[in-house]
Order: sequence, then C-alpha cells, then structure tokens
Amino acid sequence: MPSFKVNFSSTNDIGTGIASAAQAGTLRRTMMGPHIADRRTLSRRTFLRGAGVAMALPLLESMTPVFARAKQPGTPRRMLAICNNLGLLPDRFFPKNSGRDYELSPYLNELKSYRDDFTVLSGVSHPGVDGSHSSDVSFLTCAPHPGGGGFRNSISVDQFIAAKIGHLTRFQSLTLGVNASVGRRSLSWTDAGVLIPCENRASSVYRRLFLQGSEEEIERQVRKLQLGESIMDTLEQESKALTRRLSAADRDRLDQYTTAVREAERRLVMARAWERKPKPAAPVGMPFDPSNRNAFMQMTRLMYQMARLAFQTDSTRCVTLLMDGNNSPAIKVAGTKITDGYHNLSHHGMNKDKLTQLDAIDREQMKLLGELIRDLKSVEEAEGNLLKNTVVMYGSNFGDANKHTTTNMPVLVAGGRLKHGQHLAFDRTNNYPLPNLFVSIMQSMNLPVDKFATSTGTMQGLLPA
Amino acid sequence: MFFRTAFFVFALFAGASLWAKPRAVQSFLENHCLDCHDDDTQKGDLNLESLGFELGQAESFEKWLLAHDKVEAGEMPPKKKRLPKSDEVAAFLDPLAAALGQADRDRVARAGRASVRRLNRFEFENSLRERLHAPWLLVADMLPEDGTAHLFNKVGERLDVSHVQITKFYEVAEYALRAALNTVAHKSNTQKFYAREEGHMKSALRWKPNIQTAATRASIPLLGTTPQPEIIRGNQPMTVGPSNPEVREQEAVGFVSGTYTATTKYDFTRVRVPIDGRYKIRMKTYTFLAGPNGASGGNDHGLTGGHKAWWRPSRTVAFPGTRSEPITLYSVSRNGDSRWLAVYDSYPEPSVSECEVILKKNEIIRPDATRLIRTRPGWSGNANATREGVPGFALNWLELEGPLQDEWPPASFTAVAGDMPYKLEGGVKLVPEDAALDARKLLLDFMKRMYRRPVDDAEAEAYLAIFERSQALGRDFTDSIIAACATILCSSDFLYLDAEPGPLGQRQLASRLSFFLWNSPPDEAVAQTKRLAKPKRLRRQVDRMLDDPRAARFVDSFLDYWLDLRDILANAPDAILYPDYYLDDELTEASVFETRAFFTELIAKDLPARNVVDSDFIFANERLAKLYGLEPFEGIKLRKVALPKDSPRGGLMTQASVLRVTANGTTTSPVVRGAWVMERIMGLHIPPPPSGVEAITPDTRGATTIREQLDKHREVESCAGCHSKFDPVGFALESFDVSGGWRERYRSLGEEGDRVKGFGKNGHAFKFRLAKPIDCAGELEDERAFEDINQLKQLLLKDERAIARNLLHQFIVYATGAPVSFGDRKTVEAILDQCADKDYGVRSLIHALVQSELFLHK
Repeated sequence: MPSFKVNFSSTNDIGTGIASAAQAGTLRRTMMGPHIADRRTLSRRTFLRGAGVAMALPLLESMTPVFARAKQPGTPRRMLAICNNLGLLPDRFFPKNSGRDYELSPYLNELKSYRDDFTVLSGVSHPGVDGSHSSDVSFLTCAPHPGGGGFRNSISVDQFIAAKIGHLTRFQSLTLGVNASVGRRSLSWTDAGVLIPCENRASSVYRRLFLQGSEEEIERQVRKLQLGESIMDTLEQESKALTRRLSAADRDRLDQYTTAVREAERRLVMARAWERKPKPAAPVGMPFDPSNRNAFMQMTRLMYQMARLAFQTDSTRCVTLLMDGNNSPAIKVAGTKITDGYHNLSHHGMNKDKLTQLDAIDREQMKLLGELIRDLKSVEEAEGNLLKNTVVMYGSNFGDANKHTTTNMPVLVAGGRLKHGQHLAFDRTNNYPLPNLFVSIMQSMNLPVDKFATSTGTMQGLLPA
Repeated sequence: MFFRTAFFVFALFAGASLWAKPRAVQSFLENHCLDCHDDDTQKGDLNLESLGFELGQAESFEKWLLAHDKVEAGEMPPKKKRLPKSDEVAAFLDPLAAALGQADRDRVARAGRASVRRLNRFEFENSLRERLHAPWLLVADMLPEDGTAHLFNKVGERLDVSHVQITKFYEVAEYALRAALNTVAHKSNTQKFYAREEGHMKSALRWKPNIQTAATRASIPLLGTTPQPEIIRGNQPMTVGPSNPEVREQEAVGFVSGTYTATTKYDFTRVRVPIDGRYKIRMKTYTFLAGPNGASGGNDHGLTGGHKAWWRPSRTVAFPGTRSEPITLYSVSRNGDSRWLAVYDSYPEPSVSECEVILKKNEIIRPDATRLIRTRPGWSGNANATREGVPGFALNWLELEGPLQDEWPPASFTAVAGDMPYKLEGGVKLVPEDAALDARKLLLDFMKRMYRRPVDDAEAEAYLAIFERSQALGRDFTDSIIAACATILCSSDFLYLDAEPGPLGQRQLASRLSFFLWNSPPDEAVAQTKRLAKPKRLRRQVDRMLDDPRAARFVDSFLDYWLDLRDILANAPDAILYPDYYLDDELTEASVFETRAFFTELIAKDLPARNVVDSDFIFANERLAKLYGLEPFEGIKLRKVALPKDSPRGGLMTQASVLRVTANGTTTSPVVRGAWVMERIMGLHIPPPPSGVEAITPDTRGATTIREQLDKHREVESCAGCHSKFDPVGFALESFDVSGGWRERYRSLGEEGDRVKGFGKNGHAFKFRLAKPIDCAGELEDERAFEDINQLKQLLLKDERAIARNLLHQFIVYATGAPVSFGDRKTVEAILDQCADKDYGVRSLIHALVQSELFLHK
C-alpha cells in the first residue's frame, strides 16, 4: 500500500497567521531607535504643495509622524474594494438605459433605497486583462494577461493607497476573504507582485481590531518585535558578503532580498509603536464564525461588518474583500435550494434551473451590499457620515463567468466624494479603461495621483466638478 | 574550430563599436521586409526600420531573434510576396545568427545563463526535511505561492521575495525548529480505536426524524456478516467491550456509502495525534453485501415498514462481500481541511492493512470507500446496487502507532540540539552548562548542517548576537537558540542558490544536480564526490539519484508544473452534465497517479521520448480501465497494461489527468486543448491571444457544436494564422470528455438528443442527453489530414526529434532555471544527436543534459 504524499493542493481555509507585525503599517524608521513619537515632523500638506502631483511619492524619513491621527486635519478618507470572482448575470445587473434617469435593473432594484448613493458602470474593463479564473488577481492591480505564461502581478490599488496613508492607522490595510483559497487567491498584492494572504475569519479580524493583550502579553509582544528588528538587521548585514560575490545582474536579485528585509524591519518598528497604544473599544461583541463553508452569505455579511468597524474606529483606511466563489461549495441562500457548487453554477450553459439558483445568489449579494451601504450611512462623522468618507467599490473580474469573459465587468461604486445616482454607460464593444476609476477614487481621497497601472486619465463623470 | 570562429566574430564586432548591423542584413531588410515592417505600416507591431541593432538589450535581441527565426522557418517573407533566393536568405541569416550568438555568449559570460535564485517553497520544505531529519514536515503550504516562468517555479526572475515572504519564511522556520525539538517529548505508542465506539458510526445507526431516515445513509452494526438489529433498536449495547475480546474483534460497523461530510462520514475522531510526525495506521476492515429491499422512512429505523425499494440496503440481511472496495484515507484538521494519506483495497475477508503516513498534530483520520454512492439531495437510486444487494464496507478498528522514530533521541532533535541535555517543562527545554559556549557550538554546527557550503567559524558570530539579544530580552535558552537558528534559515546564504558565471564549482554543481533530481539539497554522497563534473562520476550519481525514492519528488514536481497536474482539483466535473464523474474522487486520484507512474516508467526504462505522444502501454487501475474501455479488472493498484492496437490511448495527451486539466468540468474547447498540447507536448511557441477578443465557449444546450461555432472564426485570416497551428489538434481531442472518457456525441442539457439511463455517484438519475456527433477530423498546418486521434498521433510521431527537443527544453528550464536561448540551440542539438541512437530515451536525455555545458555552467 503506498504511503507517499500526493500534492493535492489542499483547500486550506485556516484563518491565516498574518503576523500582526507584517500587517501593522509602514512607519519609516528614523535613525535613532524607539523614541520616534516625539520627532518633529514636516507637514505633509506643505510638502505635497511643493512636490506637486507625483506617483508613488516617496515619503521622506523625517516627514512621517507616528501617530499623526490627532494632527491630521479633516475626516479620514477610506476605500473598501470588493470582488465577487464569479460575477453576476449580466443581463440582470446592467441597466438598459444610461444617465441619471436610468431605470433600475432587476438586480439593482434590490438597492433602490440607495439609488442616490451609488453609480453603476458598464462597458468597462481592465485593458489586456484576460485569463479566465486567474483574472481576479488583477482585479485591483490591472496587470495584463494574468493567465499567460511569465505573468507577473503588480501592486494592487489598496496597497498603493496604503503605502501613502497606511502609516496613519494601526493597520496599514486589511485583506479579507470569504472562502478565499489561502495563498492562491487575494486582491492585495505588494509592489513586488507578491500575494498578501486573505483573512477568512471575521473573529480573527475582530480580535486584531479590538482585543487588547494583557500588560504582560504586550511586553512579550514588544520584546518579540524588538528581537524581530534585530533579526532583520542581521539578515541585511549578512547578505552583504554574498552580494559582493555576485555578478552585477544577480545583485539585483539580492537587492530585492535586502529591500524586503528592510521593509519587514520597518513594519516591526511600526508595530512596536502601536503595541503600547490601547486599541479602540469594541462597539459590538465578537462575531461567531460559521463553521461550514456553505455559509458564504453570512461570512460576507460579517466581513462587511468588520470592514465598517475597522473604518469606524479608524483602525485602517484600506480594506479589500475577495469572495472566492470558485473555492466555495453549494452555498446557502435563504429561500432557495442551491444544489450545486458555486463555480459549477456559474457555468450555467443557459440551463434554466442553474440560472434560477444564480439569480437567487446574485440578489442576495445585492441585498448584503445594501445592508453595508445602510450601515455605513448610519455612522455619523464630523463631516457627514461614514459612507460619505468611504468609497465602496463592488465588482467582478468576470463580465460573464459562464463564458469566462473579462470584458464588460460589472462595477458599482458607492459613497465617498463622488457623483452618484447615475449609470455611466461606456462602449460595450470597445471598453473604457477601468483603471481610470482607481485614479478617480484616489483623487477623491485627496491623494495626489494622476496615473495607476494602465489608466489613461480620470473616469469621466464621476468626480464632482 | 568553433571557438576560433567565435573569437574572430567577436573581434570583428567588438571592433565595430558594439553592435553594427551587418550590411547584408540591411539590404535583405530593404528588399524583403520593410514593405510591411517599416515606420509606417509596422505590421504585427514589428518595425524593423527603426529597430536598433542593440543586441545587448533584451528587447532588441528578442525582435532580431524573431526576425531570424521567421525567415529561417520560411514563414517570412510571406508566400504571396516575392520570395528571396536561398543564397540571399543565407546572406541574411548567417551574419545575423553570428551576431545573435555572440551577443548571447557575451551575456552568458557576463552573468551566466541563469540568475541566482531563491529556493522555491517546496525546495525550502525539502531542505528542512532533509537536513533536520524531519521527513514529516509539511510547511510548503504555509508559504505564499511562488511565481512561475516558462511554466516552472524554478526561475530566478520569478522567485521574488517581499517582506511578506521574509516574515513567512521566519514563521515557518521557527515552526519547523520547534517541531524538530518537540519530537523528544513524545515516545511512540500504539492506540486502538474500535469503530463501535466512534461517534460518527454510532450516530448513523438510528433514524433522526426530519434529518436522516434513509437506509442508504445509515450504518449497520455487523458481527461478521450478521446484522445486529437489536443494537439499532437500542435493546442491546453497542459493543461487548473488553469483556469478550473474541467477539469484540469481530464487531464492525458497515456502510454502503462513501464519505460526504454533510451526510455520511466514518471518521475516527478519537484519534490523538500528539505532534507532527510519521505514524503507522493499521486498519481492520472488510467488504460485505447488504441485502436488497431496504427502506427509507418508517418509524423503526428502517428495520420494518417504510418505503421499500430494491436498491436500498436491508438493515437486517447481509451477505459476504462479492468484491473488494478501494479505501482512501485522509487526515482531517480541526478546521475541516482534509489531506490525502493513502489508499488500499479492502477485501471480503476481514484483514488488517497497514500504511506509514505523515500526520500533523491534532488531525483525525477519515476513511472513504470511494467507489460507493455519495448521496446528494434529490437522489433516487444507487448505481452500485443490484437485485442481489448493495455493496458495502465494514470497519472493525483502527490502530495508530507513533510518532515513529528510528533512533533515540530522535534524529530531528539531535539535528538542532546535538547531544545537549534537556528537560520537559512546558515543552522541550534545553539545559545548557555554559549558555554562551553551548550556543556558539550549536549555532556553528547548525550552520554547517544547513548551509550548502563550508562555514567559517567566525560566521556564527552574527547569529550568536541574535541568541544573546534574545536572552537579553528575557527569553530562555531554547527559545533563543530557535530564534538564532530560524534567522540562519532566512539568511541569503540558505535561501539562495548562488553561482558565479562560468563553470559551476563542486558544491554548486552538487546543489544543481540535487535540486534537479530530488528537489532538495545534496546528500553526503554527492556533496563529497570529488571532481563531480567528471562524466563517469556524474553518470553514476545521476543513476543513483534517479533510482532513489526521492526522485519521486522530481517526477511529481516536474509534472505538476509541466502538465498543470497541480490544478487537478480545480475543474470538478459538472453535477448534471457529468454525474458519472461528479464526486468521483477515486478517478481524480487515479488520474494523477497514472501520469506519475507513466513518466516514472519512461525514466526508469529509458523509454523513447516519443512515448509522450503515443505509447503501446499505459498504467491503469480498475477505475481507469473502466474509463479507458480496457479489459476490466478489480483493484485500486495501478498496473502496466499493454494497449490493444486500435486503442485511442497511449501517451500523455489522452490520459485522464491531462484531459481534465485542459477542460473546465463542464465543456471542452478545441482551442484550449489544442494550444495546450502543441505548446506543452510539441514545443510550439504560441503567442498570447489578442486581448479584447471574446473566447468562444461551447453551448451546453446541444443545438450547435463548438466546431460549428469556431468554423466562422477560422475563416478570418488574422485568426487562422495562429489557430490553424493548434485548433486541429484540439478537434482530434474532442473525442474525449471533461474527465477523459471517450465520447461519440456531445452531452447536452437542452431538449435535443437522446436520453441516457443511469445514476450518478450522487444517486441522481441522469438528466443529460446525447446530442450532436463529434467530428474529430482535421488537417495540420502543413495540410496533412487525419480522421481521428490515432491518425493525429501518427502524424505527430513523424517528428520524434521535435518531441524529444521539447521534453529536453522543459528539463533545461526545470534543471537550470533558464530557458533555451539562441546560443544554447547548438548545444541542444548536440545533446539530441547524442541521444538519437537511444531513440531519445528519457533517461538518456537527462544524462546528456547533465553532462552538457548548459548544466555544468551557471
């Protein structure tokens, strides 16, 4: 009887052990060690005015305050990006006519109470992004040909934003998933094109946001982080001998290593700074994680709540959520019997029974989105409400999952400082570049960005004059 | 002579200020190319008019190479233009080839063919397993997936590292070290678990109103083949217990159903796995035949009354089994993930089977009788049932022995802690005599063990500083040693496979060989072979390594990437269209094993490379034999089967695994399969599809076939240019469905076509119909026509050398981390020449590659 291991890739949905250290934000390390909170800082706005518009603006060492929240004028601006990687039935999602007086489609009718809070887009896609199911990895990165050989992903828009404002909050960003295949699927990618694993458990998100360790635990954690810093420092030093031996071309590879090590160290320093600062009080109790993966909708609802809580407590300003339908079994939807795995349903081949089930799933998606909009709206803030200060982007990498098309992606944008209550209909044959939406979103968050990936400008008709 | 020419050319070009475009090249361009590829037209996005002749730059080099290859292949200039004379062509190609070759040699001299690279996550895992003597470590899945280039996870340019990875590598290293030390806290012991005492088996005995009232999903208490209904009624205890060992030994619980976690499972949940490690599982099981005419419903747990049907199992009548049943064992973690462990045949005679497996802490064991029904809501029959009864599987007990250690203290403990004394106090704690002195010794020994190079004593200082820092921060000796050792495992010296341009040094060569054939670092035998590069010694080492069980890692990993076998679970068959494959884990499992066994055989017997296109044998077990329409036989074990002359099987492209990964579970596409086969098996370079073109997907309503849909597009010239290279191959493969079964007609979910009678694995009656017939004829680009897959294979076999060349290319990327460049082509042809008299034997190709400059130089 054979006893060797088969490398069947496991569908591992453990709540990932994202080290809190690695996620905690980028504090640029100052030269003198731990007493960074007292350092005098240069006003970010003063700096920006001088620098003009710049992409991937490098932050100067002396410019970044550690706990800048108190000093930061105005209400924080945030972004939540959601991808449902099996899409929506297009003819039931897209409205028939365009403009402000468009008629709500069957799906959008589920959101009719919030008609003035969102804009629906059609005729948009990421230029050059093809590649079937793997295209969700490019949903926020816009990196072309994700299915092709030699594909390399690039930074996702949430990480791009986090690199600019992540240091202002305890968590630079949160990468969430519903049934996301850990290590294989994620919306968030680093600037080196490396996947940031999804957190699939709402309770783990909750713990990270609110649960304070004891004094002793904190001290232990601080010591652990201090040791981590020494370790990273040693790794950097010790790589020098190897680097010296290498040819010029290979030195680039080792440079990447040193950069990674330095970045890890920076994040440890930042995490340590946060460690002693009390976490916010939890406005609600700990969520209960469903034990079965078929509770897809309930998990989605919980993740929406976690995102809202994270924003409400200003724990982070960037959240992504990947609903991995491919990795889901036959899911539960109230009132409808779902007989087949989500992915198999998406290949409906015009089968009536499958279409009926998909319709129920899609409508439930819309309802949950409605709940999210409602909840965000209900939280009052200094300037308006949470929705007004949070851009929510919901969409899919698939225009039509049945056909695996990545053009004509369904996208809906809600909240933030954008013009809403409209259907922006672009060319269904010759799509309008969706990366322009990302630029508009960033500009609406007061970020000085005029280009992202394959964008060609800002999105027409979305930014207020 | 060759070198002298090369030198001459080099001198020539070096003299002419870097790269000057040879005059002959320019005049050919003007006469034959610039009509279309000039500044104005730029046909196919290629502008040769303004293209600089900067061969030192990758982009320019690639374009000139493309021009060279297109002209050499006779594809350019296009046939309808004025064709150049052969001497004109030569006058263009020769100097261009010389310049390209020289540029390539310059690059290799400067930087080597391949770049320095990081270990991928499997190599990292294997390195820890080997060097820590911890073959039970399962850590690759804890690390982010690596990038691939040219199909493989072996190429430096894609083995990136970010802060996420560094953090993860550290976490994993810490985990592994702790696990290695922990082995000393757990002596092996044997635990026995009787099925009669397991919760899942007990809870499946009795009806649960409104939840479970069906005999097919229930369990039957059996004493041998005698059901014990009084136990079901609750009038008799579940077991006689220790009071009567003889009877207890015969007590069993029977099922007629495979595992489906929501409804039926027979996990041994009381198993306690104390630590990650090697364990022995022994199981006593047998098969039986439950009598027919069982019931669902009723209020006596199906013992009397209810709705009877011949295909439902009786709960009061059973017979000895009439056949064996394949049993797969999985481990299940607390969060519900399951991992394949082993598979065996259980026979009508109760017998004990034993296997050695790797288990992780706190996992439980799940047996699954994979051939049996897995009921899903709406089920109305059982494909396994006959009028004589319903086949079933009975479990007596499971025994778990371990963690197994070959020596004490365990080798993994010694690998980290040497011979240090320890105590067990809230984990394993090392007891130092002189902390600083002991730490220095441990760290130095550890570096020598882990690094694939000699270590200087002074190098330990930096890591000793980590140990000291950790101690200063209040952590104990053991934790501090772990921190320092984990740091060593994240250092660039451990994580990177380095080399300088030129011939590889002894240790680098040993590493390259070992990561090629074992996916792990070299053992003593190869590392200590003096002057390893000597042909005879290399040959001996390669043979030794290929014959070692660790070579299975090469086969698995190479096939996982070359043929996408790692995605085998991604395309589950559709429940309605393919109910006969849906939930058929037995088939999925066997498909992967088949391909591995096949490729292993090619290497072991040095069989000709052409076997990847067609072979007169395959490997099959009962399930595969049924799928392939071979002479039926019983059993899960793969055996080598000689194929009948007219069989469409043989070779890789008609294996179930390949046919599955190239389909999506619902439909097949000739475009996808054709391109896949031509690229992976025949080595054709296929450019990515133009963006913005919607893929044509088959319609499952049955009214039109994919061929009819595609024909419209193939008439468009711009599409046909590429598609005529691979679509035809895909058409021949249309004879195979999404799981690799033979078909004459497409299945449909529409109104057209004929109904088929039968029941799926899920117990649902077939709903699909057989619609339009398959047309699998086609014509290759060179106009050679074929009627079906067999004829197509014969056509492809005509170019054995091309088949071997492609396989060699794949080996080269996998082994060296770099694709075949222009300058490598001559060496590749030389390797092929060497292997020609062996009919390009697969093992011969490996030998010749290892002996070549491509392998021996960076």
